[in-house]
Amino acid sequence: MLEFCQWLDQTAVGSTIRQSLWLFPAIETVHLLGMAALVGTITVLDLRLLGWAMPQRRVSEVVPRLLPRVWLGFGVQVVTGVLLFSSEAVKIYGNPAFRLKMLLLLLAGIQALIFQTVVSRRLQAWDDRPSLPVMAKVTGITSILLWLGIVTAGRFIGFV
Amino acid sequence: MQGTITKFDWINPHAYVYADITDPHGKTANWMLECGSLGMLSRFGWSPDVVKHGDKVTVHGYLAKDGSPYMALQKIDLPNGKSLPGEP
Repeated sequence: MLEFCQWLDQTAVGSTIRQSLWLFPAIETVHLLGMAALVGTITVLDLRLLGWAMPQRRVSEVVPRLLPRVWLGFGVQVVTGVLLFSSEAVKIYGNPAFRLKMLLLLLAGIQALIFQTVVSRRLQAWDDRPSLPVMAKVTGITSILLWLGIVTAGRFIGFV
Repeated sequence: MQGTITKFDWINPHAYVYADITDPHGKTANWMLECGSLGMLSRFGWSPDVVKHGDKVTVHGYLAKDGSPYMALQKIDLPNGKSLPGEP
């Protein structure tokens, strides 16, 4: 893994971003805008699953509308995140906040997979229920906590 | 404190100057001197080759609380007589 980081660090992309006067802050700005789009949209989705936002709207209507935006935001975050990482891969490799962020991202990824395969298939069935089942609420609260952790750990990379 | 430059990393998000420095207690170490961002430094008059290996410099800044050879560089006096700020 460290070898991979050393290689990435030495690529033209990594060293250009590392030494450019404006590329790093520019990419970081897009990463923050992407964070707002991604985490903001996920939170709305989670709040709906919890029944705390738009309770009068059907889940089967809200979720498919939000998911494409979630994936768009996720794509922006992966691209900008990899670019930022490539500029300081070796330095960040052992950073505890970075490692925590990657671990939480992995958990969020597993959760998204479960959501896509299990939860999203039942959305239609939940439409007529006054309150969503425990599974939906657990999904919503875990997702909010995971993303809260990811954002916090990400911010702390520069301070630990 | 005075010292001799060993390395200069012109990198985002913060640049680093490394120098062999003997502190007022007579202890010599390779110090890490952290500067601001590249955009900031270039406005202050820095460039990627503003300091070179072997340059004799005088540095001013805030020291690490734990006593390790680390300084947040506030000002560096270069061999050519010029002084540059390291942070705002």
